[in-house]
Amino acid sequence: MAARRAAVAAEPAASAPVSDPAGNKAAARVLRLLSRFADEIDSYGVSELSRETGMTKNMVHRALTTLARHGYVVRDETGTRYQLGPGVLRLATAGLPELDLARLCDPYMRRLRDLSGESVTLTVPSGRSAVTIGGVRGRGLIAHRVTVGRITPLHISAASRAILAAFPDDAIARYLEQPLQRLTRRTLVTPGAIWAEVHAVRARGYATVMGDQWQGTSGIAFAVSAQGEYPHGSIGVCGPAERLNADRLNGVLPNIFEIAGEINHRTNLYPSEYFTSAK
Amino acid sequence: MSNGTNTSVDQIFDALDLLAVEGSLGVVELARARGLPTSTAHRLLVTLHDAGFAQRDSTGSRYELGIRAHELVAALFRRHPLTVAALPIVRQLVTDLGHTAVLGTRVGWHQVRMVGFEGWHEVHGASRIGQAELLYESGGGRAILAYLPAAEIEAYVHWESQQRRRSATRTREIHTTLAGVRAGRYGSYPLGADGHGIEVALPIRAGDRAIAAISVCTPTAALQADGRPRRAELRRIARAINELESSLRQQPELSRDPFGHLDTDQLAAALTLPPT
Repeated sequence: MAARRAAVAAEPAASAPVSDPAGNKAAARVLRLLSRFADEIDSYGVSELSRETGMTKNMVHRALTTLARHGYVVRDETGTRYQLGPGVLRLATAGLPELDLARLCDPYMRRLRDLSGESVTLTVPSGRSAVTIGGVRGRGLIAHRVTVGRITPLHISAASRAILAAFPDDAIARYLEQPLQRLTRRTLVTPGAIWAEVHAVRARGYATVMGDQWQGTSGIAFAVSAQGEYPHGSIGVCGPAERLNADRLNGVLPNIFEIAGEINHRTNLYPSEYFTSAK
Repeated sequence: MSNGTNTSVDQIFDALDLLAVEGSLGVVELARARGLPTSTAHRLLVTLHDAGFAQRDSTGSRYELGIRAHELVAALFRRHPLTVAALPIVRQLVTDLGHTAVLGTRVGWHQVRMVGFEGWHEVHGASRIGQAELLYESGGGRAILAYLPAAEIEAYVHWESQQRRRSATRTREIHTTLAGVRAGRYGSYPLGADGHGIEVALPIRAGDRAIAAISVCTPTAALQADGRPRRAELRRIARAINELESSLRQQPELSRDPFGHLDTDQLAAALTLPPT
């Protein structure tokens, strides 16, 4: 049930009664087909598209004809397959609003919040720190604060450590050359301890909250991966330790990973430079 | 660009085109523009919204282009391998100069801004990523046009004169300007009508022709007294160009054009929105 609710939450439902249900469905199908072309694959054949979308070959063929008429797809050089067409460039006419990482991640962060009940934050690297750029507050009366603009050193907090562990080794070594700040008695401040944690995060696939920033909270963070050597940032799920105890956390971890997989499938298409300013 | 059939699917794409042109669209506007009942207009926008092609804007009552639209454009840019190679080079150029810089790729008779970063000076140009301009109507486009084979320049002039009903004067003007680009070695175009600066561009060449250009939005304050760009700026842009041209020589597949097999005039038509 939670999974279904989560799936609905990702795509806001249509609200008005439809006056042309068949046409509406056809339109939705064509748009769904067009969306396939946003992936890594350069060109598609009719059979492949039919297999991947569950549409019949006839439906696929009709949809492709419509898309071709509007220039959104064209035949490729071989003449037998279809690829994105120049019509897609019309979508950028008014100057496309910048692809916003926070906006892209927002529906997935809501699903994570709904599934865990806890606050979810999106953090990106900036120099020697990590900055929170988005998030959703947890559902309970008591929840972890989401502070957009909060800056944390890269070795402190689960969100930061998830990012640091996703950096290439030489970047981590450069980071560790300078003195490391301590916030609580649990903050890791020696290169040895931090390298050990980096390897643990890489092996596990996520960083855990360990009281190195605040007391009394628990949670995890996973890297939001990019094309290339650096990550876009990380997403963290964090809440009060008495509520988000080990059992509860282990219970939701598989679902968290599923959603993480979906996010990374999309963010992997962009290099990390894509979302940052050139400073 | 539907042929007039009024199916839901054609209506969806008409609505999408209007949304792309306007930037922001409300139900009533769409209904009026396309002569539809508001319930139909609402249904079209909701369908686009559900598929991720439209999203509510910050006011909550209007729609703007959604993430799926952006992802498709980004996917198309990725199919031009040069853009992937250019990303770190353009980024470094912006870091060094402080001005907005853009890689524009030739698509038919247009230049499309595919990679760009905004400058870090307080006052800087907008990168306008995704925008397409006729080759003659941008600095980067002029840099490209000037370095196409003569026959293609003729074909462009001919096409432009047909589309825009241009005169012989215009044709002469184009040829003079392009000769100037080749002599001065850079293309330029005013930034906005109010003279706030110029776009300075150099072509990226592969084989016998330019395939793209790097342009830098240079505000007036950064120009010389005679209105020309500083030598240091041109040299820095040339360095970025050399890096890319060198990569192109080593990896010719970087110049791959996913639209290379399409007719140029047809391409140009696809980029031109029908009148709303």
